[in-house]
Amino acid sequence: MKQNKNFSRALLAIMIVFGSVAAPVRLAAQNGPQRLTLSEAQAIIAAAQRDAARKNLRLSIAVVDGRGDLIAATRMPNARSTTMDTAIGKAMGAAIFGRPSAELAARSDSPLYRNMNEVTGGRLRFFQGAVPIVRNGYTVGAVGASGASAQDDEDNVKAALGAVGL
Amino acid sequence: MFRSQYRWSVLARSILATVIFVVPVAAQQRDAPAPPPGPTTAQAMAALAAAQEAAEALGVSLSCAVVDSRGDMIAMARMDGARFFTTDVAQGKARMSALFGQPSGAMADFGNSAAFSSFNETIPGPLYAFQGALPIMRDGELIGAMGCSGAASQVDEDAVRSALSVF
Repeated sequence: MKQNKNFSRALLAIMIVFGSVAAPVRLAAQNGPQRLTLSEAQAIIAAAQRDAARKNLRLSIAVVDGRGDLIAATRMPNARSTTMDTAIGKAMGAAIFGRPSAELAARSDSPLYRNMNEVTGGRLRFFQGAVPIVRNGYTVGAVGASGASAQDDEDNVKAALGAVGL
Repeated sequence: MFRSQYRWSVLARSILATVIFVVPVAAQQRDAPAPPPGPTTAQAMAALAAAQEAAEALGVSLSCAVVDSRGDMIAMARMDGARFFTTDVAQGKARMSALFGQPSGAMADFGNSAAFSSFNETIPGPLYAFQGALPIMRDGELIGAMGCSGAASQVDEDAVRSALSVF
């Protein structure tokens, strides 16, 4: 009888330990990869601004989530007003297609790409200057910059992602 | 006598050289166009941080946007948990407030008018005549607006108001 009680106690302890370990793992599997947070997006933008200031560039920088929806955006002092729209559009394209926007430029006139631009309200911009953010094999977002040459824009966002370790 | 004349001619030559060579080079640099009046990027980002703090204290998740006097966005942030469309609404309310120099909440009647619908067609980009955005003034001049979206419209406006002290 006493042995039986000990056994059930041990079983209960094992269940609690296992449950506390397994529950978060199961939860993570259900929710997919960890989404990009606002603080991560702001860290990327801050890193991009530092890089741009070093190279004397005036950029708008935008970070979107894996769906292409805006998380954070900033226009640096003296960056042209219209660069904001381009930065957001490039980042949206990179997120939705999961590729650097430079690779999308060649196919921007294809029916699929035009259709995708209609679906998203005509906001996509298929120019070089944005790269997707990948975590555990999933595109969790993208960062785009605009305001300098297309190559400088892309170098800037790559440097920013490198600086924050994404 | 000769010396001082020589010195003056050196000075005159160097001024002439500056005018001929340096001024055109400076003019050729692709400087940014004179921007419309607006808060600085640093001010805009500080205001977003202040609004986020206020929203966290109120227990809500908001998107907030700061625009200049032309209605062009300077900075925006969507807090974790805020719905995706709140970015557009925050921006649209801020633009409304910036273009008319009034709280967007004071423009509900105009928002229902025929004049607004034609105005909305003329001006590209989102425009929302709902409460939740306030104009930003500096020395009596309208320099932009800030808008938030994601909670009850009064809460949105309260978050903006608590961030306006940054400007």
